[in-house]
Amino acid sequence: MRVAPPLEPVAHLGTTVQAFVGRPASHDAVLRSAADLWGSHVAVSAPSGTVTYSELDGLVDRVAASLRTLTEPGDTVAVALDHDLPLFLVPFVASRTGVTVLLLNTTLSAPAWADQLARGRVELVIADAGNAGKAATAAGLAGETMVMASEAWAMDGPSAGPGAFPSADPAQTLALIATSGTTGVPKMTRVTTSGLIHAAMAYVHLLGLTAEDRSFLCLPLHYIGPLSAQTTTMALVGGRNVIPSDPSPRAAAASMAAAGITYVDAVPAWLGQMVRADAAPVPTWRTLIYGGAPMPPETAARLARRFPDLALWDVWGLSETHGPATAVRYDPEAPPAPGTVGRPLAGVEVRVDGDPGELLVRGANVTPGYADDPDTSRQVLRDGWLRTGDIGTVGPDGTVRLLDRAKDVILRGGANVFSVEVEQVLASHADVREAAVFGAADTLGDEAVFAAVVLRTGADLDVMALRAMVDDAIGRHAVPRRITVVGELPRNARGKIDKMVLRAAVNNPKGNP
Amino acid sequence: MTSPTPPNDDIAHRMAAIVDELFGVPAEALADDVELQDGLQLDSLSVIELQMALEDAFDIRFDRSSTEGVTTYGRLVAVVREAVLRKVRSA
Repeated sequence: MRVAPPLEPVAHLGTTVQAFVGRPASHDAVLRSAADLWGSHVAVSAPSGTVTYSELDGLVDRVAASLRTLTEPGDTVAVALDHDLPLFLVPFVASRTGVTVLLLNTTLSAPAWADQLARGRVELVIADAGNAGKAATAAGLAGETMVMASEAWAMDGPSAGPGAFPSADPAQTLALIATSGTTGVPKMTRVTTSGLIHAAMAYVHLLGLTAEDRSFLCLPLHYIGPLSAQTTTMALVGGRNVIPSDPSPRAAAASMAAAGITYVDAVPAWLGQMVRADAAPVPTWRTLIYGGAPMPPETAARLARRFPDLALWDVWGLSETHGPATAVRYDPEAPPAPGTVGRPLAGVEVRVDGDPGELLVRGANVTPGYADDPDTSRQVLRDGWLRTGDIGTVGPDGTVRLLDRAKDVILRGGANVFSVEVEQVLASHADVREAAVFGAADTLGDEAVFAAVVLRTGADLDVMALRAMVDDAIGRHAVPRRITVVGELPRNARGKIDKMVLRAAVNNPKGNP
Repeated sequence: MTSPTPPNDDIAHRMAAIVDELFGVPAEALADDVELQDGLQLDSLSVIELQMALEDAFDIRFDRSSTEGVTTYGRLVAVVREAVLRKVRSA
């Protein structure tokens, strides 16, 4: 049994929560301390290079110096960077410079980026060579300026030197991440240095992470998961992050074995493909966390069989909780009941509004809100309690069980798809009278986007035109896996489209007309 | 008995039916040179789902090297044909 970490009461979002005693004040403090304690440890091994904590500290200083020539503390910039070292630096550069960084998901389209740039009110868009074309288009649409990373995020320029930056603000918003809110419309969640540090310290305690750990970054670095669970945890303990050049599940086992990986954060769909691929053993692998979607029982069972020394942890949380709220360890002898996501992590409280009802989370890891929407922030955050939009129960021992998602968001391969957005795009086609978009499992057990459309009288379904429209307007991940024509959309007593009925028709095609 | 292997158009027909069943993409859209991702707007997970459905339907297994460079529908049909032929020959 691990000893419970010492916690102390602190004021947060108008209430009192429990925070870790001795927590670092900021990511800048975490990095400077790591450079002191573990200067010669490898901090990150990436396609473009491998750096120690001492070198990482210097690298962050050079990037911060170049960013400072174009920004002021308190500004917001957006970055469009590939899965590599420059993107890994984001929380540390943000903390050192006092600049907030909007993390653009590189799989989205230029119009979707432009929408996020406007919401985040960014001063500048910074892109690497691979993303420059799309970033320039998005910046143009949003009336912003695009600058190449070689200028504004320069790893090879002069250092700012000691004492060049004031000490970092513990309450700083380091990053903005597009998330669902509770209304199904994208919101820019504030990712704070203290929220990430609290979440990461909870992970370190739960999983027993140490300087010996080597963490595999297969999830995109613009997601909240790797930011708290990997980038921040490893810097807290002096461990190593590994950014693979090919993060695909088929290539994973071989590159994990080669890198001596001990720790992975992944989504169930990725893990399902990884265990299906005929792949090498990974003798060093000890710890796995996953979340974002229900874990298919057969995938968990196969993982446990193939990696008998591996601890599997199912984590429930949101961008708004900087990742984790609850976790449960998978026991192959006694698999958890469907929807069971375990008990709250250290310093986190979960309660339910109704039975079952909406789950609420309070703790030092809860976001102060949405940068683009103070009204929604006020609705979603009351006395420090975050309304998660997820429906469930809390058992007498604090075990949380998820029953449904109240908000209309589909998680496709780790990316959010907002049903309302896709519905609007489909309904903008001249032949479509009405559209309903919903999530259902594909044949691999991954959540996929499905659409049902009602056509205007006499019109024929042009599937390819509709697919192309969604692809152009939002991105490939939002293109419905299947678009079905229906005579009318099923509605409940209040006239709301009943997506449970549509989902049931997908899961039971024989019942389909 | 004329041929021990399924005729080519049978493989193509069955593949088109699988694509239609999974994604609702009609056979007319399945030109040989159409890109799976950029032409049919399948995301990478859907391409994997399609490959696995084809493996199960034809009782074949793709190895990574055989599917890595497959970006067009025509190449995918060819790779399935080759795998089916290999299976028939080794049976």
